Amino acid sequence: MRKAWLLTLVLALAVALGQGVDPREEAKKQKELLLKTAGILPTELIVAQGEELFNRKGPSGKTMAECDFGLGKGVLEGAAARLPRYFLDTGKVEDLDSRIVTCMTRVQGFKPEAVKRSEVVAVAFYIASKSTGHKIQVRLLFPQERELYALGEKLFYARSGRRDFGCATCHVTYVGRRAGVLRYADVLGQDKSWTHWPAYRYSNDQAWTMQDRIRACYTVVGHPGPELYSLPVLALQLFMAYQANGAVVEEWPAFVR
Amino acid sequence: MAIRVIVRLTPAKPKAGEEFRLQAVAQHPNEPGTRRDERGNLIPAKYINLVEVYFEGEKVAEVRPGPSTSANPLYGFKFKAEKPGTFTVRLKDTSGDTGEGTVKLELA
Repeated sequence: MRKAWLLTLVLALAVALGQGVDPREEAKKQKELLLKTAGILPTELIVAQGEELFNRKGPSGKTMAECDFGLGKGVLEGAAARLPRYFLDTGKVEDLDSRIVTCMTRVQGFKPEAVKRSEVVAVAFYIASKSTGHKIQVRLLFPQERELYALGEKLFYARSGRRDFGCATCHVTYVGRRAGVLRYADVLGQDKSWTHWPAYRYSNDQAWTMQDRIRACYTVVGHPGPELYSLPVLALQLFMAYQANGAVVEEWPAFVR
Repeated sequence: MAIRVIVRLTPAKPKAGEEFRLQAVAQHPNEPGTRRDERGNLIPAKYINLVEVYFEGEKVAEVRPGPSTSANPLYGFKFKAEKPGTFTVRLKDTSGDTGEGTVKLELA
């Protein structure tokens, strides 16, 4: 009898220790704390920076308001929630980041090497902020979109590299378990991870978009990370975005650990 | 280049006679001049060394921060709400760059 009690106690303790703090609750608390003490979130600074860059004239004398982000020239309201999508003018499927680069190079006249990543992220934060509260609506209308989606699905479930690992290993098979501090998110399921980026990560003061997040994932599983704006990154984004269809964007840019 | 500044009041609409905080966040690297880059060269100092707060054009506070301030610093000031008006926060760094942010004080 006493043994059974001891066992229950040990089990209860193990469960309590294993559960720890929900990272989302922790992020919420951190955000509240920051709002209470500083009154201003770091994301707001980056959004303000993005807005300035958006309205800055490029070498061609045009601002980014001349660019089409999917809903027509200069329409930003809800545009980010409908990306990635196929664009007729470039003949490519583009996500928010690559569309910003396209805008800066093709419309504003910047040289490709003059496009700074920090500026792209800031503009992405600004444009994404206009989609807070919108539903994710990503379609597979063009054959190019369907093709890229198929590639994304393949990449998501593929296992490769020296650890024989893939996205699905953690984010499907081992959802809820953990290797580090955080539990693996149910990327395709209830966590709707697509709606969590772009985000500010308060634990290491980084402003990241989904592209950075995917690249970091690859590094973790022992792969060389794919290049920014590259096909694998776009394919995975389209796959995840389509899976998150219908999910409401709680807040963009998000505030995560 | 202008320094980006966001200014807020907490509480946003204080009552007359109530104390409130004015807070300003600036986007600035605040290089102290002691750090080195990946090649071992000193990164030249460039930090905010003057913060002025104006209320309706009249200077009500001034701070002269040193090099050991964090990047993207937050400056907070406590005031007593008496009459509505506009606060202007002006910043200047060691290289002469300036920034300005404003916020309106409305009484509840």
